[in-house]
Amino acid sequence: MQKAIEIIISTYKDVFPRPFYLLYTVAAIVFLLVRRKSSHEKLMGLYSATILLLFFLPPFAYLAAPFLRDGDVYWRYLWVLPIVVILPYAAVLLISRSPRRIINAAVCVLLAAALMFGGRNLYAAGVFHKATSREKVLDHTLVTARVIEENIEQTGHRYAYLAAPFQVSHEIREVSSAPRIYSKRYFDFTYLKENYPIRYYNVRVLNGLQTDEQHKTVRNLKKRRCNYIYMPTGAGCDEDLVKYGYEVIFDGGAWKIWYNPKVLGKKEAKEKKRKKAEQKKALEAEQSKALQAEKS
Amino acid sequence: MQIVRVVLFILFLTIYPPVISCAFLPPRKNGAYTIVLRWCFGWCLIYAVLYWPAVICILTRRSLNLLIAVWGILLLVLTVYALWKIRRRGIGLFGEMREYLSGLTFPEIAASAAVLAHAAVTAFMMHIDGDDYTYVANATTSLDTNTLLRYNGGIGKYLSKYATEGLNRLVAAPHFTYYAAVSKVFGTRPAPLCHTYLPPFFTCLCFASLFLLGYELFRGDRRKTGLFAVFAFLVSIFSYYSVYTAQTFMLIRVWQGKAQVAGFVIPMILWLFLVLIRKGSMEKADVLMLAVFLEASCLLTAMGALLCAGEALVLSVIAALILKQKKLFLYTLPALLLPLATALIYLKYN
Repeated sequence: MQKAIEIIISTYKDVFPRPFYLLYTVAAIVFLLVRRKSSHEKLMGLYSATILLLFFLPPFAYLAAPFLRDGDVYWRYLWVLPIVVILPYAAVLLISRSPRRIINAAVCVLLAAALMFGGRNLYAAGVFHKATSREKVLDHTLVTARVIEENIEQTGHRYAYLAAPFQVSHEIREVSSAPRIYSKRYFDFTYLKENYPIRYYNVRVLNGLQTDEQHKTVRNLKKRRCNYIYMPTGAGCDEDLVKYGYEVIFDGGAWKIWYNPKVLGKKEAKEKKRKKAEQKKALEAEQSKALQAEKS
Repeated sequence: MQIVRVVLFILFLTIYPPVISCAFLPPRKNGAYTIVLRWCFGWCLIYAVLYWPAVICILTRRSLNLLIAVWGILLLVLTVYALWKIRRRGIGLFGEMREYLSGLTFPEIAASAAVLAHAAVTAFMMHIDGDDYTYVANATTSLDTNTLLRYNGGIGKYLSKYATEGLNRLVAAPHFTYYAAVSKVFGTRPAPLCHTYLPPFFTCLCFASLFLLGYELFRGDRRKTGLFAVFAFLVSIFSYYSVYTAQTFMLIRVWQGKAQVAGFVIPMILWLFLVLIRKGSMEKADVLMLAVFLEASCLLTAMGALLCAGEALVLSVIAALILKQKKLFLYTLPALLLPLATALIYLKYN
């Protein structure tokens, strides 16, 4: 139960960092429940009150938590609280109470001002940026995807395993399914540091963080069969990349895409090994035939 | 060819949902707002039709092409049925449209203009979100490989089982299949489809559900409905006091299933119960409508399906208490079976 209370408190803090909209909602519920002139008002008032009461009820949070990722997303429960309906509903009912239009207009302006004061404007918060492409991903993600696709087409080497910083690796498969991603699933740094220190190290470097043992990064990435590496220029791995056989296929200024044609996937490596063994066998058979012919 | 595809795509998003809704909605079901209801219900119907074929195709490891074929056949059957009904009853969709447009009041026009402005913002501006790979990357992978959840869309790893590594919820709520199918049919890529082409329509859809709610709450008073919509828009825009609010999701990442559940399906279920409480009874057609809404929510997000089912349950209990009718509560229960099945799939694979 202690955990349930913690979930409620943390969710409340997350969803209502400023309590105004919660207060407005409570006021609207009280207004509707006191008024109760129509069945709609009763339903809206009772439903919203029930949802809100359940939210603050620890036994309910305790029961609901397993369904909401152990309470991590308990805030989603509040989506069924119809704030966007009950506030305008109460506002319009308030506005249309007086027969005098000027009073109604004044109430309307006051309510709108209250809503604006209590909330935070989405547009003023800088959530949206001007789109630079129809895909609406980062430009360098788009470029990386195209470079890899072109390289696959040119070389005919279909195996593509990309190591890239978090944002690029996160987005690139939205645009192109050609490359597999190396570091994609290792973005939980704390977990990573404890369980996979080498991978943590790699991801850190790939995110542009400085380190004094760059050679380990490139060596490990090659060992992990990454044939494409998106490397920030500031990471200081260029020499090692050249040393381990990588070549630049695109230079984006602050970052480069490196490619190593000799790095093969597991299947490709097996296939190559098999072919080599077959060739060797065939050669041996030829040699033995030639030897027999000589003897005879 | 490209122009034809663009025209068909726009028709599919605008005209087709009202047409297909004729299969179940009678004429003038919702007064002047019938056409708005048709649009919203039609979208839910399209989602609901996709749900079970998608789940079955994923579990049996079928291809995307097969899913598209099954979905197309089901939609075709429904369309033929709807057209047959229109012919029989002589419904004029354009008449309903004219009725809606001719009675527009100033607040409605103001609210619509604000909604359209925001729709334009979603088309021309961008917001990058970390959750996208669940939807878009899986759709891209499905489209390119003609498979369904055989690869982890986020990293491209081949999955030896039908669902592993955190993708289990996608089996229960395979919304990405919708994007993959639409991309395939209309010859576009999932990334621009999700981020540029669809968000304006989804935004209008979410606000259409709020318009419907206003129309129902004020019992057909269009001036008050418009005023309600203006305030609803204001509340939505100023709901960015937290990134976790339903309106924030609805406004900035509407292409994601959970955002559509929060901004569209949850208000539609509320609308349905407001209608029921006005009518004072629940008929079979209402149960069907509720089932369609709930099944649509199942496609969109597994957790959302649970939320919608919970919402419907609470609303049915309250409505039954207000009307003193047990029947209303009992009739709701069959509709809850679908989200419960989804919940079981979701819980089993998590």
